Amino acid sequence: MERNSTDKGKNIMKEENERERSIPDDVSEMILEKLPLKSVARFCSVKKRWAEMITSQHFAQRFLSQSVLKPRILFTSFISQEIRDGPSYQWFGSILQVKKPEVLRQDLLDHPRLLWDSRISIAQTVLGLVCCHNEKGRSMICNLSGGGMLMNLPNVDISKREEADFLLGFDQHNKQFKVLCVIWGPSRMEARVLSLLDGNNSWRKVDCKTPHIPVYRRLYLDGKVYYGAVRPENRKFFFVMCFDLQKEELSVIQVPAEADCDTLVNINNKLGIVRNYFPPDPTQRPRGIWIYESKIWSELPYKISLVGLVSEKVHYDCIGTIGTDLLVFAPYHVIGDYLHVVYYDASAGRHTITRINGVLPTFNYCFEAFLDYVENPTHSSIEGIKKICSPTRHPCDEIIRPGAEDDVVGNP
Amino acid sequence: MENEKKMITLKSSDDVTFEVEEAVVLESQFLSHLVQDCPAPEHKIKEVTGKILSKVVEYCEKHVVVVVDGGDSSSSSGDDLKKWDDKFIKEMDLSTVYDLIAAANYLNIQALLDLMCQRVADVITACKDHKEIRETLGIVSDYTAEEEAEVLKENEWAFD
Repeated sequence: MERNSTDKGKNIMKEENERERSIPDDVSEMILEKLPLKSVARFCSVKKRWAEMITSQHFAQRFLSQSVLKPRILFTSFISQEIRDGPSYQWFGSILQVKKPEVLRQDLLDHPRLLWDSRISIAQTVLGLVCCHNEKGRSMICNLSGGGMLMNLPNVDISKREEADFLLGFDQHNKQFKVLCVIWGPSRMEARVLSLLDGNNSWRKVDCKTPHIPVYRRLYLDGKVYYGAVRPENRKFFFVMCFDLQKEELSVIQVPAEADCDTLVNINNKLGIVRNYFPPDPTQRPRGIWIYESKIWSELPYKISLVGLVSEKVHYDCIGTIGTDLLVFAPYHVIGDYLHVVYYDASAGRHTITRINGVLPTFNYCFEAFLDYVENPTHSSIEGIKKICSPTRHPCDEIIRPGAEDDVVGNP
Repeated sequence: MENEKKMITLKSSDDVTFEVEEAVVLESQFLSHLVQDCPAPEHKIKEVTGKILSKVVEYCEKHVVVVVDGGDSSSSSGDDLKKWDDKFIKEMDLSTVYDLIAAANYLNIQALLDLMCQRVADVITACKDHKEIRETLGIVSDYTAEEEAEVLKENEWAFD
């Protein structure tokens, strides 16, 4: 057999049998759990014995327990047909979340793309899963590291004047992913919940006494989903809605008037409100960060200035904290051929810019970024998710086509 | 105090001897039990060759020194150690890495095992497909052509 390898390669081949014997399964697992899930999936086709090992529940659990210890920052951007020839899609990439911001460069990991003809909204990421929806009330759950599409959620009927928002969370008590759907319109205010993979796959009604309109952006924290909301009759009146995933109850958290309407993020493992928009112009007042602790809101004493960091044209979103007091800022609009994040050590008042190595889909586009993204093989094609997915559509397609006729859920 | 350091001799399978301080031996769970249970001055390690044992000793000596000098492992000594680790694995061919994995696993030196596994993981991550992984790691496929095609299709998303 002719092989295009070096002499060293041939020697390795010769010793192959001996070596494979000398590496026990638990050491192989130790190597595999250090890999990105994508490389692990490539391993399936290398050798049968490894495929068996990789697809086992045991390995999936082991990989996940390692994976939660090294969360990632997930980036996503909608690449429309106008920007780039070819179909529109939602692009995803991630980098390792560093605890100490000393790294000046980080490598980008590409994830499967979602082919979608219009802009989609992405709620927070929970244990590697992402919930996406469009304005027509269609929604689906994706596992970006494990092959993409997981399942379509049952359609929610909404009229043209109505809107629906979908939020993903994890019920820690029942060990179950749940999706909260909030529907609002001129004559309707409704909330529903669905448990993923429980076999029913149907929406249940949730008692919702407070009329509200959800606003960007949501947070999953410790068995609860939080989202900002405004009164339908007075859109300047901002408050936070909290959904307890175990009790399946909605409640209202009032916020101080100064905190105002803005982004919800995880600040030191507490609910936080960030008035995003940190202006490049120093004469403008930088916005504050509030945290909710023991039912009291307090403003953090940080004076954050990102003036002149990279370019005056770049505006940043605070996307939350890593550990304690390490704030992460991601640009929401990038001009140029590379992406970067800014880590701001609030206690030391010092910032670090990390440049991200990797091929980006295009120049000049908007981004969203999420902290605490985890590669999760337990709800992925690696584990054989096709059992619960559509038999008519391959679940592992790299490019996913929601909105096609063969709706998973609609099938009898 | 310097004079009180207890020295221990390790002998490889091919009878190469290494005289090391006891602290170095304690990096290995296996050897620390061995030294405790059997207080002989010399210990033969039948499963590890001289070439590999020299690497193990080099690694353990470096890590003992840094921990002792650095006290509470300050970040600068941590950085130095990381740089040293990087250099240590960079110069190594894969076959040595495999032997070191076996040795670290046998001697139960978790940090060394982690480092070596990470090296293999990095090599695998750099491979663009299953064929390259096979070639690099010297693996003979046990799939039939049909089986392979099916598995490939299932994991299509993992290939760029």
